[in-house]
Amino acid sequence: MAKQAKNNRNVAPFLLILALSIGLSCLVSGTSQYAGSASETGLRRVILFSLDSCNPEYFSAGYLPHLNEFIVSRGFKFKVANTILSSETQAGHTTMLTGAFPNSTGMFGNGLFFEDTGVDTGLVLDPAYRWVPTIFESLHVTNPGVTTAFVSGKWRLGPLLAEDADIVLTSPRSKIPIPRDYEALVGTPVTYMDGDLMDAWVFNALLQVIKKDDPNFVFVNLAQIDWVHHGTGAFNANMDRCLREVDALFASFFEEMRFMGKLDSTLFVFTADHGHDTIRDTFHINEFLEANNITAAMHVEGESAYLWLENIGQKATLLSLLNADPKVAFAIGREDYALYNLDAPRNRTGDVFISCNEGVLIANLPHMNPTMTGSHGGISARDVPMGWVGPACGITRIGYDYEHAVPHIADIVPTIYHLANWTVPATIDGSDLTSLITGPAT
Amino acid sequence: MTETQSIAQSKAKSSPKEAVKEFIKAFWLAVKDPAVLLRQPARSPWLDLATVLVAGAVFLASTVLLGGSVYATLYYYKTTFLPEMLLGGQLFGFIIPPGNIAAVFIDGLLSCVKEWLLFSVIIYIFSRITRDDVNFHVVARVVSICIAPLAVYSAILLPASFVVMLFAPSVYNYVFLLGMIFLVLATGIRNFVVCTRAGKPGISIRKAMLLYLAAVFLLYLIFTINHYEHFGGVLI
Repeated sequence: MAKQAKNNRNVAPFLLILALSIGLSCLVSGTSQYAGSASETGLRRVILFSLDSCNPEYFSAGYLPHLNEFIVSRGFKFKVANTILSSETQAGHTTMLTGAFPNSTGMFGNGLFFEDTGVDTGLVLDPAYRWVPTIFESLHVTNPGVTTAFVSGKWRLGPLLAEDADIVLTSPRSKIPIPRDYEALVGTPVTYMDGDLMDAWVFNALLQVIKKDDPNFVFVNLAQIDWVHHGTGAFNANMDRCLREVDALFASFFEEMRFMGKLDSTLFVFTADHGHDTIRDTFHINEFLEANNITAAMHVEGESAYLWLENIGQKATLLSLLNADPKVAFAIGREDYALYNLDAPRNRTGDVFISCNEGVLIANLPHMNPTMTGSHGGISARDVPMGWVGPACGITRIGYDYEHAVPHIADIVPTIYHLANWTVPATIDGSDLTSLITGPAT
Repeated sequence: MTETQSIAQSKAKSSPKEAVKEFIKAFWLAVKDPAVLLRQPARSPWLDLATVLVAGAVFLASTVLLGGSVYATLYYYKTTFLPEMLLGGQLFGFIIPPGNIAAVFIDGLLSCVKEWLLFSVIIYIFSRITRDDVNFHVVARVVSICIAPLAVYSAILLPASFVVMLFAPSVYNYVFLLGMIFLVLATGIRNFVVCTRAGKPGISIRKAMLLYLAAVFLLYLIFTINHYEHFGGVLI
């Protein structure tokens, strides 16, 4: 008994210390919510977030609670938005940052195949393949005083899209060096998987950009969801943890913006370049063509493909065979390409476009990673989330999960131009969403 | 009167100035020769707490002074470490903005205390499993002695990192962070082995090291599960 009492006395001060440290922790973090700078007024900056590979359902309380609460309590959320076909990173971001559809940008996937020369570009990194200017280039021409920044977790976006951004912070694999005056602030990033960066580095880089140069337009790509998707599929315990981590990063970012007094003077746009599926089947297109005695050159983009037929007379037969296949969502000929903004010269988009069903990967992709369990590229990954928050821009339709309109990611740039009162360039295809998101609250 | 009683009496009579002097002496002894410190009579747990707080304060002050990516890394890993999330304001939805340096500093200091106690509890449980008759106070004291070198290494690495910053600003963060990991881990093992054997001479070096490494491994496991995507993205 005496020994027991002595042991209790031994532990009591430590329990007291633990209780005090937990209590004080809560107190410090609780009271810190009310400190900070005075709020700026008017619209000072636009931040466009692309959550690479984010499905629209992730913008909800169950998956990204802090981000979802931020959008629905302060701004406007569409239930679903659309990206382009093929639903791939390079083409999706090109449309997002140009406001132009693929038939104007010349980008139809991650890579391009030129049937006349037989050249396959692999990942398109050279901006010469792009036909229209990005928002970074346009702003220099139409609004010379506006400053821009490009912060990307995906290494391969910088070479294609960031040429004219004033500040570029991205992976060393892109061969774009970290600006000298940012080296000490962000450090050399550690790269993961394909050379992409973790979102924690990206958020720190974003905050440093805002604190140091505070540009008027910032594009941010978050790559973490995409690499977990490719590694583990559309939704599982891994993705759950990944989303919670991304959500925590958003939460601390918003708190920091509030602390700096910059939250209300910023227009935030949240979207994605494409969605994602779990691979559950494969479509062996080579075997399919051989079995039907059809010869064609092809370019595969995950769950979709472009075909160049040797004998164009076989097109009708091929289309009917493909559309009858249970693995294929749809196949269209050039005459219907305009439906999906694919009506570009034959050299880039071929004679037939195929999109497989959800989770069906076209199997002859030469560089396909055999361990990959998630993919995109087809019509099923075309749905993406979209949210707008900007009290300084009069976004009044708060709390919506709006389902009466499905915007396109090409609509983002024209809407930003309108809300920020910048001169709109002539190369834009998308529509201005201002009337939808600033309309009277009902 | 035994030697222990006389030291205790002389401590009880000492002025606050002398107490601070004694504390600094004990702190330095914890870094230089922990076995000697441990052979001295048992001291109050509040002094162990003070050791942790001083070591934590010097370490945190170094990260704040270095700023940039060192500070960002500290902030990120502190706020996403599962035990910290469960023992702090985050559990109730409070998030400290990274720019609120004072709040991050105080919260970081409190985190050091929580991690000290957590680490002590883990080692205490392991010790009970291996049937070592230790009391929690001794374990907490040994762990606080292991934490003490954090202050010295921070103080050494801080100017070194500033020098590196002049020549290679993008890698100074690695110098500081990797330096801390290697030096603290190595000294931690050495101190733990020395302290454990000083407290209980019969215990083998192998067993003392195993106890320490098992506790570090458990914390690392929690960290890895929480940040699985940094290690390739696939856990299950």
